[in-house]
Amino acid sequence: MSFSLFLRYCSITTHLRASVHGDLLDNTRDWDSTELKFGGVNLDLGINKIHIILGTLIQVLSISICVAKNKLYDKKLVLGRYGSEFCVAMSNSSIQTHPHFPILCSLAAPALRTPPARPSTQLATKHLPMASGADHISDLPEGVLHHILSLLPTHDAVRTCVLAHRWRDLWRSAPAVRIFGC
Amino acid sequence: MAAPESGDGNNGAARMVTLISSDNTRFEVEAAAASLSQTLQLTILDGGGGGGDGIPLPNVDSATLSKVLEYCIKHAPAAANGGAPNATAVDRAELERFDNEFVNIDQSVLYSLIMAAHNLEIEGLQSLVAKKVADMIKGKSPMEIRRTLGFPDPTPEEQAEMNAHMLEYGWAYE
Repeated sequence: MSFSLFLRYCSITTHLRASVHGDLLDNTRDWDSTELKFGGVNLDLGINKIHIILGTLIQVLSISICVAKNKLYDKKLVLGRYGSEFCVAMSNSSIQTHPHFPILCSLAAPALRTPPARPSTQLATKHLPMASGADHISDLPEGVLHHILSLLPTHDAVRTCVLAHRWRDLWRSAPAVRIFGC
Repeated sequence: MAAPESGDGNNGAARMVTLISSDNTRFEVEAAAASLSQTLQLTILDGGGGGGDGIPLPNVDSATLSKVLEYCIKHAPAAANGGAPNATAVDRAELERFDNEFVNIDQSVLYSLIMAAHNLEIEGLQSLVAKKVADMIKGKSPMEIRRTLGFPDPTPEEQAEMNAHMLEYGWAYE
């Protein structure tokens, strides 16, 4: 199946699943300085090189990735930890030169999965007025907030996590690895 | 606006459809422009929205819909050209200028637009408004972000959480 078809499919199902299998090769590198290869990557998304930047090593054998309607050609993948979860960022060709492009996502390897978001969070999302009248950014649906986060450089996206509980739960409520595109 | 090229699109060059906002205002717009909405596209392809019928949009008020259609009308010609491979630099610059101007709006209007773009699934508009919000966040400290986005000042508990987060994720605050 071609990638564009795959994307069309995912626009219907919301998420596209792919798999990454590999081992993290190093555990003690800084976010800013390290680029590591992710062994045994099997991604049919045109990703030619993957960089991992991890604060703490956790063995990840299998990660499933959901991609929202998105183009993923020639991107780099950046993994990091956010609290008890992983973050994954993707960028077009260079994170430095494309500050808009990192695609941040929350990733939960099965063994590391935090408990599901509290029901109240889910309800808050569902009870959103569908009307066009969200008067506060936190009233926006989760998918929209994820989209916004996806457009931010990693540093900025992490900073938003301290804004409110709602924003923290954004990450926790991700059912699996999610990469949100721009 | 120039009539869209006939060809692989639907029949007719400048077919019009009617959209009805939540407050019952009717908007007549070219099918090509309305079709930027993936939500509407199928209905329009099926021949809906023509004649006296109109497509009701109970989630979008007239002020927002008017703004949304302004975007669609502006972007429809380029979209009809399939991403406008033959667009001139001038055309692209003009669209960019339009986009920048378009999102230079109050936050409340911006959020209405985000919701509408989301509900109507207008991809370009979704990206544009999301990028606008991202730009409002980018490069700011947590407190600045809070103020920009209209969050109330943090409670002592939230402040403590923020401090703890900053300690743990110092790299994100450099």
